[in-house]
Amino acid sequence: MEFQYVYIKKRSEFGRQCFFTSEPGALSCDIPPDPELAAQFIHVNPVHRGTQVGCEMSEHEVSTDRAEFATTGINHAEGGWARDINPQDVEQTTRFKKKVEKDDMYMSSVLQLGALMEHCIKQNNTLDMYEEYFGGEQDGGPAGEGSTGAKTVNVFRDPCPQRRAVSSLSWSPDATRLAAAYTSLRFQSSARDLPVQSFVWDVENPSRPDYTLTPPDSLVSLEFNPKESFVLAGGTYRGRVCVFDRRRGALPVDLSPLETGHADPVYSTVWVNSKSGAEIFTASTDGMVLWWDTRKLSEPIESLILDVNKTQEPSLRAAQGATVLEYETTIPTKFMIGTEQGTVIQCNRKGKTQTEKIAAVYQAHLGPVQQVQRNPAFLKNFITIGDWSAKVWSEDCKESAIFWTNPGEVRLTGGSWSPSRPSVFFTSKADGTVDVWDVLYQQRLPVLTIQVGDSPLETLRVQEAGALLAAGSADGQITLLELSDTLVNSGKNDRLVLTAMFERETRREKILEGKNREARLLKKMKEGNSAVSERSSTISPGLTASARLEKEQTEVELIEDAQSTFFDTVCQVKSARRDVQMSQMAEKGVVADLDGAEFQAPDLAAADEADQPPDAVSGTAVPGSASRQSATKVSSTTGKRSSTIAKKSSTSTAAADVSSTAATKASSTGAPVPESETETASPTDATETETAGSSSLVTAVDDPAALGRALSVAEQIARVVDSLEEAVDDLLDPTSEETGATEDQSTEQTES
Amino acid sequence: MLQFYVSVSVQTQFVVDEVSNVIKEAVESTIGGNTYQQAKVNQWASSVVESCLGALTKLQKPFKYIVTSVIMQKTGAGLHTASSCYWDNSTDGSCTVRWENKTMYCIVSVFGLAI
Repeated sequence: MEFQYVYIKKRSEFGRQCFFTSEPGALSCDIPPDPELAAQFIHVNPVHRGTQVGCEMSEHEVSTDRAEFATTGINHAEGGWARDINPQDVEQTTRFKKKVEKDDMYMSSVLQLGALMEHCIKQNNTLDMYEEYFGGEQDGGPAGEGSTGAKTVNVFRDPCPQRRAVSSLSWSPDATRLAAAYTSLRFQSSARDLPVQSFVWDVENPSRPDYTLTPPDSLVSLEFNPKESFVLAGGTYRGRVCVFDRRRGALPVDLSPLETGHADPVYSTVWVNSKSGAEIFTASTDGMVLWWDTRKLSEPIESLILDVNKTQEPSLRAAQGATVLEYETTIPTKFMIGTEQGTVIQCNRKGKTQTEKIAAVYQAHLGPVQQVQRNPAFLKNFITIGDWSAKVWSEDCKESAIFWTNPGEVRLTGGSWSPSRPSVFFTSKADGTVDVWDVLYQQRLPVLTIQVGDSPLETLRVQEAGALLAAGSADGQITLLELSDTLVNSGKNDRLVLTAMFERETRREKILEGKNREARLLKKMKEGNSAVSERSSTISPGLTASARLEKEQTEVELIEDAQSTFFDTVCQVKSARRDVQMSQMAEKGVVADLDGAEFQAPDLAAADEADQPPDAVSGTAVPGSASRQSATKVSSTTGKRSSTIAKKSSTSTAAADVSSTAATKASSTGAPVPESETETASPTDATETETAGSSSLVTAVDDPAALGRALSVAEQIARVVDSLEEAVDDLLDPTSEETGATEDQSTEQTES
Repeated sequence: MLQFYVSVSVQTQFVVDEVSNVIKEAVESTIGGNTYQQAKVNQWASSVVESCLGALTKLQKPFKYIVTSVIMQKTGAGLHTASSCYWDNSTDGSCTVRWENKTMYCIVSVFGLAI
């Protein structure tokens, strides 16, 4: 404590004398003792006081990793063999069994186990624990019902800095890996130094590829060996074929040399079901299909040139470029090829000659065929995908598809059947969408459209279980989609309904095909005897013949006839187009023989005219000969070309452009006719009828309805050969047409 | 013998009432309402003394002060104190205050000696 006190003292008061007096002792405080207060206190003796000495402890909790347990049962069929016994080896197992039987404990242990087993068996027999309680339930209706969808599971991007397009995808047999071939398929694309690697991705891990394949140049097609998941076969951009083995690194194990391979990129590589398990075949747009043994890729073991023209020597120049191969392992000898020209060629490997090898040709699309695949459940039906639509075909109908999707606005680039649902197929489009179609539900529109990305999709592959779909796009991105259950599981009735549907459509196409063929034949015959038929139509016997025919017809046939005439006009347009095509090929001097061979009709003079070489015809052209022969001369002098065109003018009657050529040709045949007419007097009527015939032909050309009528009439006549002969006989009757008949006879004689 | 009679002003006189008031106030403020606690008694005794002395110096009187305090627990014992002084009776003085509550006594003595 600090106190400060300032005081002022007068000077006068300094040194004042202090007058001391003594103060007596005064009691300051007197407190008497109080025993009552003492009673409030007690004396504590001893005093207990607690102390504690303890060491400080801390508490911690620790938890170990939990072990997952699951209870499962095993169905033990056979096992428990000792380690040195190979269960497959019968001898070892029997020896072991004999040894055990000699053991002492054998009897007693068997008796003991037997009692246990008996108990279990009795239990099993009383109550069947595998009984299906909800057997009547339908699982997975048609794809339209319920929720259908697909979600993106994973996206794999090309790790190389320059993005290349995915040209081919292949699933490994155990469905854990996806192989993708990357290449730039644009013709003469700028970066020739694009990285050449292709990758195999693990489905679970999209961040980096599982392993890399390094071919000599970029791979266009790639396939896993279905028997061994380590081996892959690939076709490269330069036409080489290579085989990779994952266990032996990224470089190919074997490589075909440039000389013996293909001349164009190998667009398709497929493993063949063979005894050795080491055979592949490849196809390319250079028109060749080659078979290789993967153990020795120095040269192919077999080759096939895709020349569909039935000539002795298949030529590469006429061959069609193959874009896609189709092979079903259950049908080992047959396979199909889709070509750049839009045809699908069905081939038989076992054939000896070219014609035997090529079994059938289907005109599928207007552009290259992107994919051909057989339906996994119905092997006779296959789907082709190209230009803007997908078509489903039956092997039996060669003329056209049994049904097809409406042409879309975007071109289709790939597709596949669903392996698990026979009625569902997928298509990938150039605008980056995947369409899912269900033929049982709706044929005109897809059931589901999934926008996978912005860049065009190049290829599509469904995994064998049917639930996963991989789509590869032009910027190197592979999207893995998982499909909802309704698209994967098929219902019980699906197969039956689909079978019925395919059969129905196939039957329809067959009927149409039959009608078309008949109509074509009739047209041939009609042209050859156009004068004949015209004349016969004006003559009563011809009419009575047709009337007779009509009486014989039942109502059903009439309806069929009406149908067929409708379809005929459609087919005529088709055949007209084909003929124009063929005429272009005829200019190249290749197809003329084919023409003559195909459209052969026995009595037709016109066909025979085409066969005859110019010299022979001119030899037979006698001055004063019939106009028919002069027509022959004219047509032959102008060469095979005009003959075929003239013939074509007879065949193609509905198309206006061809009709104009017909008109010109008819007029050209008509023009020299008057010349000969001046020469001879007798066949004037014949010439008139000839011109009348040709002019009538022209008039018929202009009027399709009349033509249709004429065709139906012609049809009825052609049904019976007698009626034709009758008409010929009728021709003999009128005097003016006698020479015409003799002309026919003379030409027939010359040809025979 | 000459006897000087010095007039002593009130200012220079020890006023007992004033001082006892001061003391009572100081004690009351320090230990008023507390029960006897052996741990705090020492502190109480010194604080009583300090507060008394501080209040006394605030009076600004020219005095020398001596303050004593006794705190005793009420246990039934008796206490007797006495004091005797030799000073100038006219100017100096002393004052003793006895304060108590239920558990203790507090006796404070102040002696003031004029300068």
